[in-house]
Amino acid sequence: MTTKRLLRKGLLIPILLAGTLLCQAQSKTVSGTVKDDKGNPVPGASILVKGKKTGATTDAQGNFSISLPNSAKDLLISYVGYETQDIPVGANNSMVVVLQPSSTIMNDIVVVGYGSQKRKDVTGAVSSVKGNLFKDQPVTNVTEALQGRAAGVEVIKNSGAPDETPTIIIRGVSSLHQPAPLYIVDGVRVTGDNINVQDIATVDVLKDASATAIYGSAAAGGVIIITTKKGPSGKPAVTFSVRDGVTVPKLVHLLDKNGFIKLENIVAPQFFSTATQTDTLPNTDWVKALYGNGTEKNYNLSITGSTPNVNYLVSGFYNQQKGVYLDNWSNIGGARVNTDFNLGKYIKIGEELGVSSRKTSPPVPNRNDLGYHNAPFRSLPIIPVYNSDGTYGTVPPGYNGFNFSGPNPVGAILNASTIDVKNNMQSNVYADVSLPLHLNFRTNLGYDYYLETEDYFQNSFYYGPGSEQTFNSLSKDYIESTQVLTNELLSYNQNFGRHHIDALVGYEQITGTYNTVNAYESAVGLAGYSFLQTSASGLALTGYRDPNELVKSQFGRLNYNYDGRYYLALSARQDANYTVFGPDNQKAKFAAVSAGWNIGDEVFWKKLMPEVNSLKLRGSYGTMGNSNIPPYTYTASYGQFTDAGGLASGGQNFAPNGPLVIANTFTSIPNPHLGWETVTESNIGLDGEALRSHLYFSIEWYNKLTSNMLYALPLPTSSGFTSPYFVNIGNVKSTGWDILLGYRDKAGPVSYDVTFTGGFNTNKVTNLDGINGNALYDGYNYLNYGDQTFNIMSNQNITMTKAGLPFGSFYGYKVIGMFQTDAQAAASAQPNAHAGDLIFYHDAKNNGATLNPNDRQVIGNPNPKLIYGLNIHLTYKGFDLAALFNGVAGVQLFNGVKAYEQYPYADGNTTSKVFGDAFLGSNGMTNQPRLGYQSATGFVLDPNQNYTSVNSYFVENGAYLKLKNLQIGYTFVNNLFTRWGVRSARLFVMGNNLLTFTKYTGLDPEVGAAYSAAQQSGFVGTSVGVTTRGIDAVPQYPQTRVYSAGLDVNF
Amino acid sequence: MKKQIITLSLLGVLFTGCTKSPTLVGNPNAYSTGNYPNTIDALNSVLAPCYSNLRDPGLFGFHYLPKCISNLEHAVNSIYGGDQGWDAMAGANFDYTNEYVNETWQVCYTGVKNCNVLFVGANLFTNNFAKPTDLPTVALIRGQAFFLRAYYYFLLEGLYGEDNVPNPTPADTLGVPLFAAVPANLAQTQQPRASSKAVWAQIENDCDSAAVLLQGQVWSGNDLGRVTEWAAKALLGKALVFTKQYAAAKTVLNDVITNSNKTLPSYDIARGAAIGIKADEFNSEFLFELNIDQQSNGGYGVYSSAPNATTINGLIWPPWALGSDGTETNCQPMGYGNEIAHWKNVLRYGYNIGTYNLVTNPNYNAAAGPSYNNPQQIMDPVYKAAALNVRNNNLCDPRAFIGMIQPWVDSVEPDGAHWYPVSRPNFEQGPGTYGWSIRKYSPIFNNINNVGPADAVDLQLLRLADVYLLYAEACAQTGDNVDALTYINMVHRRAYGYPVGSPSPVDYASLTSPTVAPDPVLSNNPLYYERWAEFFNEGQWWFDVCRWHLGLSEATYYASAYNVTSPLATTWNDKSYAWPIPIEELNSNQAITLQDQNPGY
Repeated sequence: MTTKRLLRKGLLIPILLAGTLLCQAQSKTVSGTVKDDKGNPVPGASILVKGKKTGATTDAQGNFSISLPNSAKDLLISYVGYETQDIPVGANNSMVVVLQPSSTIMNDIVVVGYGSQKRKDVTGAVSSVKGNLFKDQPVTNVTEALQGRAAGVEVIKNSGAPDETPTIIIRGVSSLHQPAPLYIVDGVRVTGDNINVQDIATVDVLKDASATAIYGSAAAGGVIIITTKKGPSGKPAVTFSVRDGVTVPKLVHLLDKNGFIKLENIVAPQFFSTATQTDTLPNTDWVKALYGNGTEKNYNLSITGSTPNVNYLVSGFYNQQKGVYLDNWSNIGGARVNTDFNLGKYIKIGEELGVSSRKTSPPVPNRNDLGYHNAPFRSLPIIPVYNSDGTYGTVPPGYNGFNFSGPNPVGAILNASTIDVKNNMQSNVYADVSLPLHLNFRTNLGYDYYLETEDYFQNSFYYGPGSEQTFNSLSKDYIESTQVLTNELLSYNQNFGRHHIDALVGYEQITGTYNTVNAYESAVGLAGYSFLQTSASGLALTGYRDPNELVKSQFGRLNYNYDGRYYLALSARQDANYTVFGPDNQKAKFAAVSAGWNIGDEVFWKKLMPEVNSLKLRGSYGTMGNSNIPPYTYTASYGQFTDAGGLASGGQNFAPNGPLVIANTFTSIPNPHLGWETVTESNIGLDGEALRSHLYFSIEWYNKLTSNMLYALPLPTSSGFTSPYFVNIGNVKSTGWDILLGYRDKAGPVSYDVTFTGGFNTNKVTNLDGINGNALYDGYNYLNYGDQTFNIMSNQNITMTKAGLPFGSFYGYKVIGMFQTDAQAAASAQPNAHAGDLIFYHDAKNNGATLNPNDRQVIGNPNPKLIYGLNIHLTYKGFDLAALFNGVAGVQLFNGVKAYEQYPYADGNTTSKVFGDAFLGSNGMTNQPRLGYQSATGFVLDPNQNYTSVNSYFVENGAYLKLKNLQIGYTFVNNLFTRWGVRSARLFVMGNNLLTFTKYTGLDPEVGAAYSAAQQSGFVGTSVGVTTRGIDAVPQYPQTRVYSAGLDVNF
Repeated sequence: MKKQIITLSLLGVLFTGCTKSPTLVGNPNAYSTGNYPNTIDALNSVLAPCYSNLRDPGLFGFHYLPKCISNLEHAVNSIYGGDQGWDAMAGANFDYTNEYVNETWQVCYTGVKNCNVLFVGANLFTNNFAKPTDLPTVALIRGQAFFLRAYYYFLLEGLYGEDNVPNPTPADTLGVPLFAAVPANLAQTQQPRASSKAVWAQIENDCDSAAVLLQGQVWSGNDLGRVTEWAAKALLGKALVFTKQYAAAKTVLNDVITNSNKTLPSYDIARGAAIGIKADEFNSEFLFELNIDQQSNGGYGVYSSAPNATTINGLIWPPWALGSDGTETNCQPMGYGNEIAHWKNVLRYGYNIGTYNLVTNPNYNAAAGPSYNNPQQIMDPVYKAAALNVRNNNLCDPRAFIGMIQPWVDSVEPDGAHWYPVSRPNFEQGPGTYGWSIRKYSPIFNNINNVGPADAVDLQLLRLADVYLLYAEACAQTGDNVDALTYINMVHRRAYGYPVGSPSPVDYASLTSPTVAPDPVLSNNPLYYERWAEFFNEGQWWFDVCRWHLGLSEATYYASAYNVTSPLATTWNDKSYAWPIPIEELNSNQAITLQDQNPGY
């Protein structure tokens, strides 16, 4: 009842206002149309009478009509993002005003949490990227689109797999359970990065606490706010684009037959040195058998438009990628409908609906434990792809018992098939109601639906003894998750003279349900994806439904400014999470304060330094939360017993073929005190423009302190518990600088815009409370992911995280040289060493006479000190050129692949680099460590563990600069096109990942996080592998170059 | 009006969005510790992981025997070189980072934890859900858990306790951490090393408790393999012998011998049980036998995603069948084929006729073409006749043919249908090589890959022959040489096919009579020899090597191993009598520091 009355009152106010205006005497009426530089009408532009308070706004067709006193001389026409125009009234009562885009970015609209501000008014750290910058890039997710474009935002794409989503880290790593950024699409929190980049108008990255605190518990990883396109024009605009390209892999090349036999004749001469028929052996290039060029095609269609009451966007896209790996592809298609309806003057309703479906044939799950590799090191050139009888190739017999236990790589792939389908729907409806007293009410109802299914058929196989499976099997996995988000926002926005207040209170609730089934059947009746049970079938089934996800939040924000010069902002949020934390700790409060000063608007500044036409100093301090760990870890419960092998021990019987008694036991011990991890961040920023806005810059310093870090403590193995025990211990400090520097101008017919972004960061774990020996070890030099034993540095961790060190520091023996003589080696602490072996640092005082594991030390830091990007845009008449460079500096990589390239591991192959090893064959001393030596009983491989221990020989400088993307386009505008209804057409060619400048000797220095055993067992979060960064390991999908051409047509 | 309705319905969203705050949210994918186990069946489910944990890949499921103990004992010789931890076991030069040292520790302690959880569950069930008629069943369930906890601690103390390290030799040494209950919080997980005596005391107490709770219980049908009073008493007796409490041991072991109703079955049954012939398993000798079914339920053995009752030891040490073309060159392992029997074991069983050569097959049928049953080359027939003579006339210890399988004389079914001659493996062929494979716990009737992979053979973890020999040892140590000799001879007679209860031509005359073994340590010590010969490749001998300090002499006898570059004797170190406390434990347990590490690591 009260609400209704308020509404009626609200309806009355404008009528009264209109009445007062009519009462003014001595006036004339001027009408006109406001258009943008492309000739489209501009609705909502502001018309002000200069020097008076009288004003009007344009309607949906860009028309306005204003009554003004005869004394009025000028009208000020303004619209966000455009230069304000000063139009003399004169005698003309009807005018057409064409607005030019603003050259100052200070008037750009920045979307912040639950609202938007002009760049000029922002007091937090926000990086913005316009959608048109990455519009035609060969990317299918927002994360990749941001690479090199936002200061302090590190994006690592270390794989050319078609459905690869790169890793994103905003302002460095600050937690073992580093959360992924929160993605907000059109004001609604969504799960993950699932939006067509072609639909994006702008991306705003919220980086500091003052910008993110209003998102409270989900904000510690930063917030990425995506605003989709709306229909801006009066008549429907149709855009169609098509792109077609080829992807080329970067690969390691293995020894061919002759090279392999040459090496065998040194290290294992019993097989081939006396053989008479090596010329008939196959000579298979397995790299060629597995890899070839891929393709990328993209189609996009969008229709936008608006009528007085409706504003709409309808779009659809389809992206098709064939990977460079055998039988690997991924296709995604989707659509979006955005509409806004004005229901009279005070109510606006609308919806956003996005759907997508991605279908992938991935190289995983491990088809017969092969996974993918940047080269199939466990393969031999003397094995044919196929035997003469058509079966998968096996090792030719008759070479003195020469044997191979690995798989046939081609067979491993073709003998299995996988289809993964991810369906995604994100929807939101909202209502926006203007209330009296300058209040505005908005309510959102969002619904997310995600359904993923994966079918995996593994045929039986035989690739030789030791690599066979006599039954086939089928797995089908099903994951469904739904999320309902509701929020209600009440905002207030008003000027009191020069005082401006903008306030907001809100309530938000998220409920979610997760539902999963994993089904497995062996010995299915037909090859394919149907469970046809046979008498030999074995079945396994797991799954659960968890409807408990519930997060409830209250939040508010107050922005105040005086005269657009002095700013103060406060924000706060309380979150309650009912499934992650114990009963004592469900609720937590987060708050931030920030202030800003537009120095550039001060009179003294304009006199002092007029060249700097805009300058703002701002600072902030606040807290954010992190709850990015699995639910229910605070409680103990009974679950089915799983051991190192999985569920096989989840039952037991007591007589031959007796019934299995299912085994249940405690899986953990409880920690009811488990609570929030808190990140406290300070930020100081300076934004400005100079030389009539040609030069623009933004410099920020930040300091992030993580306290009560969520830490998965490894319990003593003697406790019998192997699952992590979550506690809040430890602090992390992450500090750095973000820099944006740009210059744009015209030089004759050429206009250009060059932007540099840089982010400096250092992170360090400052405290782990002395619990548990302090260190967390992780990272292996895997041949196959997950197999800690069967690899060249068997069972040795590569990284260590502990107090005083950055996350995931490399840890091993420090190489201080190579033994030049046997005598020198004999006098050392390395008992098996000879000339050509690595000298490892040894602390004789504390660690005894011989080298031992305690001699290991920190040998590198995989967290880059600097990440940077350089964007260059040039236009000349119809031509345009865009180049994106990105790079990192101050970083080390662990080149694990190098070990496999210079050493024949197990029964596999290696590369020609092996022949550069010291004292191999006729070699003398070289700069590569010795492979081994010829003893009386045979060749002894690596007695000094040059290649089989974790040591700093494999640690390299990982700095690089890449030309990530180069695009050249030409836009056609001529009468012929116009006659066809085409407004413009742009043809472009592009290369992606074209050039790399680096000293790194591996394939590509853009290395992400390798497989993490700690992550797999729950000790480290899943969004960023914070303890396995910078490990370049063999199981890695190759990086690719992409060359494409495309066409954009606007109707 | 229409707009008002829209407005009102939109405002309605405001009120529909509120979900009531819950007070306590339960994990829907797990049973609550507050009301589970609530039935006897549920309580049996909490007991099941006390047993099934034995089949962890880190213990008897996969790694413990073929990758650790069998290499330490040199029952096997490993050709596989891709695993440093495994090679370290072959050379007995493991350190505290060794993965097998770590996982054996971890799995045994998980077993301890599972048993302790059973006691929590039994209390909850008894206090809240049990009917009076349930209580005897609860007692039996507790009894089994007491036994299993004792068994896990027996392994832990035997492997990691400082007892067997001679220097220093204080009266009481450092044992392993003791957990009498499930740790309730972080602090309780940080347990120091208890004294050896305290650990043995808990083992003995648990065996006592088990024996009392299980008294008189006879299992049958689907419960056949559950532990009994007699298993508990046998383990108690073993613990007493290991801790040199010989008088007490004699009493307990004599109780088992006299009252358990167990007898030694024939050689043939013992031989059948070693390769999983079902009729021969759970025979009259077993005290604690873990049932193993050749059924992986669709997965990869102990890595199945469905519960099963199998192990996959046979993948590592399977026999080799002759190639389908009849050549040794193209021989096929019936699994991975990473190991064969160490050739010195052939000699140690008294097999003295040397090695064989291949000769042209006089019966080769050229028209049929070469095949496994029509090979172009065969074992020299003269040698084969001699080999058969050895076997048929017990000219070596017949247990050689329980433990090992002999090329050309024995056969296997790699395809589950046809008997192929056994071959030497491709890495041990040619003049002067034996090439015998492992038979005990090996797949014989099919390539293990064709049947899961899954082993078929029950694991005999405690059997009457062990009790006899332990009793003999206790008797010898207390001066009763007559009884000592009697029980040694009973085990010995069974091996040679003589009636166990009466004197036989192969009887040892004294406790120092010669054996068939050629080495100085075993050749004049029937007790030592019988324990070695009887429990070959069962994971027992290593404990004897440690407690009797035979490390150096064993290394001297076996001399070399494929994956060890130095002669074994040159690298033997007495520190290996106790495994090191693993690094994962040191890294996570503040109550154990580097100073508490076993000597020498």
